[in-house]
Amino acid sequence: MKSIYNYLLIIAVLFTTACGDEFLEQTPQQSVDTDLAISTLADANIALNGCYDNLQEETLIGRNYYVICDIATDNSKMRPENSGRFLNYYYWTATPSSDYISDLWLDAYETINRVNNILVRIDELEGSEAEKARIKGEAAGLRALTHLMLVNMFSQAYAVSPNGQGIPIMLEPAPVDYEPARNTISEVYTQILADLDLADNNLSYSANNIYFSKGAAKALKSRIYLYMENWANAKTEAETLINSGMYSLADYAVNTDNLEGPADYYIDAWAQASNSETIFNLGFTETDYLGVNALGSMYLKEGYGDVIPTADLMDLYSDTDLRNYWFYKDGDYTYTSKYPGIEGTKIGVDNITIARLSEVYLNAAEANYQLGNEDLARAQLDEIIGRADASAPATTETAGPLREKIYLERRKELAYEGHRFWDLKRWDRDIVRTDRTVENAIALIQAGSNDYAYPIPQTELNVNGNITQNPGY
Amino acid sequence: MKKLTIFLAFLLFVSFHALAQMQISGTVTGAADGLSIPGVSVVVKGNETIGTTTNIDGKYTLTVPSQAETLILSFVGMTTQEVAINGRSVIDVQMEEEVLQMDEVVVVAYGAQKKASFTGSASVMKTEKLEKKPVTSFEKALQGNISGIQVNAVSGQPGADTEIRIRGTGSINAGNEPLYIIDGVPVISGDLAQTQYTTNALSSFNPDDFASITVLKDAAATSIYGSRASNGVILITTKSGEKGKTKIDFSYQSGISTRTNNIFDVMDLDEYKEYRYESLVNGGTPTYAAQAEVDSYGNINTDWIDEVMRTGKTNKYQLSARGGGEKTQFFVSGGYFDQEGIVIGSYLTRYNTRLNVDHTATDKIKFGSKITASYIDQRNPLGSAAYADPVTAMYFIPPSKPVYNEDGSFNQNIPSNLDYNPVAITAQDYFGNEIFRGLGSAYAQYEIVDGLIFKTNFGMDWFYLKENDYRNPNSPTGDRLNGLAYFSTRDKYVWTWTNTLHYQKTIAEHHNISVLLGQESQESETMSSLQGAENFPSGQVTTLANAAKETVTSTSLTAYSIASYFASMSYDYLGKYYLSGSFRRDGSSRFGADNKWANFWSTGFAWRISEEDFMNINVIDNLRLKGSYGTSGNSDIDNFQSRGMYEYGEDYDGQPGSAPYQLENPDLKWEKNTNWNIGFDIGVLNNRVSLTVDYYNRTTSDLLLEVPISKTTGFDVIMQNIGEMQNKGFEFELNTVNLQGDFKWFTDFNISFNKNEITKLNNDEDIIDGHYIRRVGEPFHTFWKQEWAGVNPADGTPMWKDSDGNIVDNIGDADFQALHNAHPNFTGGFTNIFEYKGIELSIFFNFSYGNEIYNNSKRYLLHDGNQGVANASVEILDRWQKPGDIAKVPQIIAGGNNSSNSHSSRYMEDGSYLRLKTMNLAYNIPKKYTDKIKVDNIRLFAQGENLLTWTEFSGLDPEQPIDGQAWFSYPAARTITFGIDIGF
Repeated sequence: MKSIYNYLLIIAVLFTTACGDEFLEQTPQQSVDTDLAISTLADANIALNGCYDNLQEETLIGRNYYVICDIATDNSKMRPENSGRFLNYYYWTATPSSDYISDLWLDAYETINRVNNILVRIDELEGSEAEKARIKGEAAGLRALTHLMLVNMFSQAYAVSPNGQGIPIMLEPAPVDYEPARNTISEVYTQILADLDLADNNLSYSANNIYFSKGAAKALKSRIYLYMENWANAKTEAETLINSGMYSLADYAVNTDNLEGPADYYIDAWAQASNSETIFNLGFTETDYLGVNALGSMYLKEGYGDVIPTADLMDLYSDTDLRNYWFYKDGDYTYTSKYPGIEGTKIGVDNITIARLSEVYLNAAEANYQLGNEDLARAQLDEIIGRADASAPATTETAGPLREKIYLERRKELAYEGHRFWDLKRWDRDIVRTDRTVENAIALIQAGSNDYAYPIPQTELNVNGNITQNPGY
Repeated sequence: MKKLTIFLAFLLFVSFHALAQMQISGTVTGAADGLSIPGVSVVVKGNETIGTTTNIDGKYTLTVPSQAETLILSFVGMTTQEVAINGRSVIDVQMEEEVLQMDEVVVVAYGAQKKASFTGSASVMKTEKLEKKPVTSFEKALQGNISGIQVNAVSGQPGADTEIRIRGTGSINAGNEPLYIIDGVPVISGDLAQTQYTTNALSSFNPDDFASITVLKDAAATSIYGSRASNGVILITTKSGEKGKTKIDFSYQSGISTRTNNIFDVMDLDEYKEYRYESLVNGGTPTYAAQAEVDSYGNINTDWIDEVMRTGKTNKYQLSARGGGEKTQFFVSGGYFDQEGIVIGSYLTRYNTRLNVDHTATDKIKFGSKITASYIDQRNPLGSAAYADPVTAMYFIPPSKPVYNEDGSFNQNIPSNLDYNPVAITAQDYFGNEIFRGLGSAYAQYEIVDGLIFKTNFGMDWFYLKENDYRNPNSPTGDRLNGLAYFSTRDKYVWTWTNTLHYQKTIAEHHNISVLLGQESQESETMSSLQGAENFPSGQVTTLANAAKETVTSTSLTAYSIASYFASMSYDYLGKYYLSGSFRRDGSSRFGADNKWANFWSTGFAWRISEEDFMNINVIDNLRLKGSYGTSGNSDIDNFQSRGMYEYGEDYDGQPGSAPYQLENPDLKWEKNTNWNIGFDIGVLNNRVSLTVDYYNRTTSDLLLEVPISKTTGFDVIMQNIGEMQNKGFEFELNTVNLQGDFKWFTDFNISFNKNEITKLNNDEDIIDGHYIRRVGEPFHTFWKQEWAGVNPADGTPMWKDSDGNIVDNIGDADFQALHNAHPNFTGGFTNIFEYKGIELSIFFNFSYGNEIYNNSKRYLLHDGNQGVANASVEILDRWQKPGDIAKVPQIIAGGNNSSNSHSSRYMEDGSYLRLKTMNLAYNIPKKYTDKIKVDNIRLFAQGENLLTWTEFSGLDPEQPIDGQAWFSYPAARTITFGIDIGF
């Protein structure tokens, strides 16, 4: 009988081996548990790359945020034969259920969550304080930029209603049942400035302009102060940059190589990864290439070529203006070549400008005008005009006409770079369209109308009991 | 004297011997065919050590003690007979084939059990129905042969995956496929393709090696498999060796595959020209320009369907041997199978081997091993309904386009929106895969005391898939990038270690108890890789090293583990009353920290009413009532779905990047299946008529659903266990012996009715999921479509309906509605077998009724001019041309007629069908002839698959995926084969 017990003992051992809870712990190889993912500074840096990566999405800076900014206004129209993209934004028929609106909302907050996951952990990590400061600065800068995109899309302008409904500010990773209410517009701007100050203090000027730097912080601050009509600070930030010696206005020489078709005539500086005035570009490599969904593909005839410049815009450039080479006529239509593809890569692979010195000059000119420094304003404006058009006369306008000339130059210089709609909004101007795709396309959006803030996505309203819709939807 | 003494001694010996022993001889033949049966075991009752087996001629000689009274004769597949000796020295015996009886043993979880004592619901597939089927994987042969199971090939491509639902669809976001277990080892199944359209992991196995397939359906049958059992379990036992003379079997089968009898077609040149002219003119093109366009088409009239479809060949060879002695038995086999598909550029070739050995070391210790290895070489069309897919392109390319130019080169001048010449692509590009598979297991068992057996079994399944996707620089799909290629691999293993302790005892004669205790651990790892490159120097070199530019390199790895404890018990009293129960505790690496372990259980009963004294009715041989109730789970979700995770590949500027991709979800747990089943078996007229009826109710609760959350978290949905779905229905299996004697006629009929209904969703809110709506009270695959109202006879424009039933002219005004569903009302099969003097004819029909198919392909095949120069179905000939025409198709207009071909119920079709699935005619050459050439048996046969189909469905094949979505799939083939089986 004893032997039976021995056997049973052996069996009992067999039964219990390899059956503990440790056996059920599998370690993922494709992915890492969130707490382990950012456990060193190197991890944090990798996670930071993930933040930049998300901004490259076509739903954000990779395409939609920039395209909407012009197609909704007087700069762009739809080519009559088109792929169907952006029609809702051209014809002003976007609803709370429209894809690009909910995509932008989700992906912007996804970027912010990526940033927040870094910022809540970074202080506990071992390593160089300088490296921590840099990572924090870049992360904060990207969070400011993303909050700015959201408030531009979903709220009225600060200058029009600072206490109006902004968007929820997110500063740390949220639990699954989080249902935030909207902060006011001024609260959002305060947070954006706080993040940009952090970036400004923690970062230095950098020649590697596809990462957030001190220059990027200052450029965005000058823009934010301009939006807030805090002219003095806008001037200070802008002029600090201009005088920093880090950047100089780029040469607008035209490409002279391989001139085969109309599309080959473009401003050379725009077909480079960066140029002397680049402050912050979102960098794309061929691996990031969004294919037909890239920003350039939306504009170039070789791509979809769906979004084309209006005569309203084209007529603003004098015949001698080099900036005519941002456009080319091929067949029946004129197309935009501001994103011609970085030389040596595919069409659609462009570093997308987030901040460059020309904008900073125009920010400074506008601030100086408002502060009454008209001479300085005229000088800064002429830097931009003279570079593009050597035969243009020097600016002599004063008061209202000077302001209008600054506004006009801003439109001409910064078209297709994510400015037009937000500028019209903060200037409290109507959108007036003369050249339209079809006669019955909307010709006028009145300043201050509900249309100036896109609707909060229906999917958010469905699950978030604390959020309120914008009026008019 | 010496001689005398020896003589006397001899006499004495002989007489003594004659007193003590006697010699019996005889011939054993089959009652049915009169043929002798070799290998029959003949033993003396009460002293089973005295025995022999019949020789090649069915003859035996046995010396038995004089007190012996009875011989026992047994042979697999025959009813065991006891024959009284009665002093005879020559005893010829006729053996009856075993008829389905309650004594029949069924393979069940972790063992085998007498059918009478089995309280669960399970169906057994007869392997003879399987062996001769020219199918690339065995599970396809289950279709129509077993009740309660829906089997749909996703494609007719050789090597394509199969969808199987046992008792309906039970899950929305977790898996729905059953668990497959071969010889006790859970095996890798499903579609593991990365770049190919479909490759079926189960095609690696050779159905000819299978001894039985059991489909376990209810809780009593499946709950012991716990967290993997909710979609049912398919158990396969392979052939093992037998004591006796070594039997060698050779079989060869060869045949052809062609299109089935459907009449689907597209327009020929004349029809096409007429269509183009009319649609151009209706679209506003001046008549002279339309005429010029049509004139430019010339006179070439290519039938692209004929160019893409072909007659495929099938060959199958199988050589096997089984035998063994007292201690060691073996089964060994080798097989070769190749099948060309009916679409150019598709084939599957399989080589496989098997060795099964069992060895009895002592009367207490036994061990053995089962090993199979196989290799598959498979080539596939591109699939996935791309224009480069031949099965898609063949419908659209205008008949005016030739396949070849006059100089013999491929015509690459195909209209730009159609792009590709499928014949050129097939000749120049290559899409294919290879599969290496090894499945091996070894066991040892020890009988500790009488009735108590310990068994340990270790099984390892290894699967290696290599896929190639190569596009030649000169082919239309490759020329833009100067050739491109992807090479990918998937390397997956699963090991399973099972330890069981089984105790069986009869107490006080009438109480039979069987108890099983077990423990099991399982681990699986999958490693995948993908590499891509473009810009090749020429079409001669196809490996990636030759390409100028690498486009993608990646590897990935994932794993899971499961640990389990289980127990089952069965008890019966007097062979009348049966009770059973099972319990399993499963832990899985996949689930949330708060729900790592879960318990599953079942209970069942059976009552053999026919054994009761009061049921002494002659005509009823067997009547048994059974019922069961229990739970099981569904752990078929992503390996790490419960954890908060960061993933990589979110790169920036060529530097690695990471990002959160999944929120932590510690509450995530198993979907739970609660099953009850009640049924009865009845056998009457000497069991010539036997019927099994089951009613079941299967409820899946804690269904995983995506629940939307605030996107400010950075995520839009999270999985939660909140839904509930129900499947309930009846199953009938009827087997009859209609005629006995020289001319025999058997009928098997089964039919299953399943009703699927979603019973709970998140806040019971509808979920719109593409073509479907998930709505409480509706079946899972309910279509969500705008309703088509036909063609306006006045002007030929399309019409739709809003939800109030009003006719509307624009699709934007038509409301989406829950219209029709893809679930059949019933499915089943019907087999008749006739036998006469060695000739056997079997005819098998299968059917499906009441399922709707959304013929999505028809939006393009019946496009009303919207697809420009693309050819279209001949149905477009019935089109509106002048006011007053009552037509099915609107006025055709180049560019389209007011979105008439948008998604709508216009393309819903009745998917019911009846199919003459298999017909088999066989002839067994009489023994007297085969004996002359020293062969045991020769069987000649002819078999047809998918011979005839009756259906209203308008595509090439009514057999479509279970979700009812027809989308340019590769149609099933009609295959006719001839073959021979020889046994030595």
